[in-house]
Amino acid sequence: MNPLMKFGVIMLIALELTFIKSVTVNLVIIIVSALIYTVLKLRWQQWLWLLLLPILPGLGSWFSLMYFGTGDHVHMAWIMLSRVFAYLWLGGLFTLKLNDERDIFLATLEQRAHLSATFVYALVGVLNFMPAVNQQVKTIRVAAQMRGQTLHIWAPQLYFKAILAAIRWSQNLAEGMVSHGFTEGATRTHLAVVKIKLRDWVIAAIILLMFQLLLFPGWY
Amino acid sequence: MANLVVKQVSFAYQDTTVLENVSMTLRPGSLNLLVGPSGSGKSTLLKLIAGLYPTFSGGKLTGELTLDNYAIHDIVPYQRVDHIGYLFQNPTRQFVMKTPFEELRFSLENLQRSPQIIPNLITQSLARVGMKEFITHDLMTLSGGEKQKVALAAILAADSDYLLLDEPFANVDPQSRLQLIHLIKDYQKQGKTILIADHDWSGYADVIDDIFVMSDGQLHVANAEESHHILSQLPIAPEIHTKLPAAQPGDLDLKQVSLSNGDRLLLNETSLSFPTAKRTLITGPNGVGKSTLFSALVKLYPYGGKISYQGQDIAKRRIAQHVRQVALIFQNAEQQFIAMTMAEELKQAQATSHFAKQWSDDVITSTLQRLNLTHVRDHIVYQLSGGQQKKLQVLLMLITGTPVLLFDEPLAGLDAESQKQLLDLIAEVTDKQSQTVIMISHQLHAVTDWFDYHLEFEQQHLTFQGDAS
Repeated sequence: MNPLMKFGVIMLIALELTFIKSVTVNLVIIIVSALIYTVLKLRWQQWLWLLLLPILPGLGSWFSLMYFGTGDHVHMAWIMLSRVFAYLWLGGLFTLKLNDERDIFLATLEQRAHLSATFVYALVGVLNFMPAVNQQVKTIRVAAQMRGQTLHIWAPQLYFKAILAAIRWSQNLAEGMVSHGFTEGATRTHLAVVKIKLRDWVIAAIILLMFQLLLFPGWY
Repeated sequence: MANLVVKQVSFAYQDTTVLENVSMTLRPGSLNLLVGPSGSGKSTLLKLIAGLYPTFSGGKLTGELTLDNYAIHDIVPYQRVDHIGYLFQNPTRQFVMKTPFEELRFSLENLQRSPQIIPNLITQSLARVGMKEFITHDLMTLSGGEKQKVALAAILAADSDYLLLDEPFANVDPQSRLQLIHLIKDYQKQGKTILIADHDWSGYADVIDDIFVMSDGQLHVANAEESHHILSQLPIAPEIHTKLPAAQPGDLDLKQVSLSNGDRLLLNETSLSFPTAKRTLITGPNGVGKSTLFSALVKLYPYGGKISYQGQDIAKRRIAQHVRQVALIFQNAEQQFIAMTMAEELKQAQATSHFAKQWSDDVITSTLQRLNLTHVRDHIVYQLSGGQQKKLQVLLMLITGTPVLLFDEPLAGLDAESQKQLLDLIAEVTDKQSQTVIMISHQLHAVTDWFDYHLEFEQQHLTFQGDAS
């Protein structure tokens, strides 16, 4: 499925979840996501992330509602806990595959969603720079150590140098883009034209429809 | 071919004049060389012609700078690049995408080339610069020279009428340099006009049509005497006179050391010792792993085997302690700076120097004079020209007085005069402070008799060259 379509479907379901006060619906979302994850063959570290990440915010809202809430607070506590998990597991369906699908996602944004190419390619450039950022921070610290100065993690100089590097990079990126002919607002040709298949639309419609059916019995 | 006019062009930032009444006529289909000392305004002129300045620099431009009667910086980039291609001085600064294929595709899509011809154009252009096998490699893992070849491929693919090259070969090994010069010559034969700014004048004798000389922001066509001087530069690979080192262990020692970059093996189980308090040159083709070796020596890059300093395994040394003994002079000078102005940098270096007594204020003042840096003493380091930054960087590290200094191409992009100033200073100071100098350099003309030893990095091995001692 095209990642942008996937994104749209997930966003719609997530939006609906916000208004649905049902532990069952949340559980169904979690279980369905888990099933999809098993098909996707996640690495165990990714499973660990999926389990650990929601715990803090989930338990946080659970405890505050359970012990300090009023009204239907016990039910709400469980809803909030399951909802946090449902959100994250649902979102994970999009983000965990994003690394592989990044290019096609951005291409879809540019070609089908008609997002400004400036935005899309600036994003591409920044994402491509990300691995260099870590190395840069390490290098800044070692470079200072060569001069007999230790830059601690709270040292303003470290951030000054990092920000300076970022500003230079952004300027370089802009100059690089322009020198390779990039023009804001101009038409571009596309080597690979992204088409959203009819199948994707159908699948999206079915998923959304099934989700609505789930809400019918009035479980909430 | 579009008609380029550069007439009475002046350019200034606030109150600093960079170019003054520059006029330049490039004969259609000619190959031209632009020479002049570091900081004389060559890069500025090229970037103005390429339309990148003043958009990206600010500053005030006057005079006539037009392409077919349109002011160059008013032409939209995708049309401008059709006529004028520009290659940056710094190879890391020009890429947007992750791989050579993506980068060329990005460029060709911008230029609105038809999707049918794009894949062929990409493979052909990369093949022309000898980078076809790297088509899907990560650009970040390529060496400076390899990146420069990819950038050149992007420009060849755009097929611009004018080609502006700013120090295109500063990080390129001599063989690749000669190949690339011929490649550019072939491109010229298709009727293109080319302007190259370069400090290294070797290899141009048979290919250059006109020479322009820039000094202090003013430009003139080289007279017969100047042309002769420039074009009679030495052969491209001068002979380095060194001896083989005696087999005694030095402070910095490699045992069965291996290095790799992704799945590419760079150094294969090499053992050797760098002679202490001597000067050692490392040469080798682009991408062979010279800079990576330096990174490993300061614990910034993983390696296999054992590297030790004074008998201590550096893997077990704390990095802060280690780099006070073995320091790297980065290829990019800005990475070495930690303060704002030159004066502050110098104070800092004095305070942390291993030889604080030797570096009195007077010594520093006279050294700055030697390097022609006195007039910029209170300037912000990030606003100095590339050459000034490099000189300051080297001076700072010499003041710091680290026992082992690793110089990564300190001479790239410097004019002959600045190169000599720096080499003299490095030799004088490191002799006095008995420091070990290990240097990577492609600029060999200035150093034929400067080094004690010479290591050739080739085919995953480092071997000492020279006569038996």
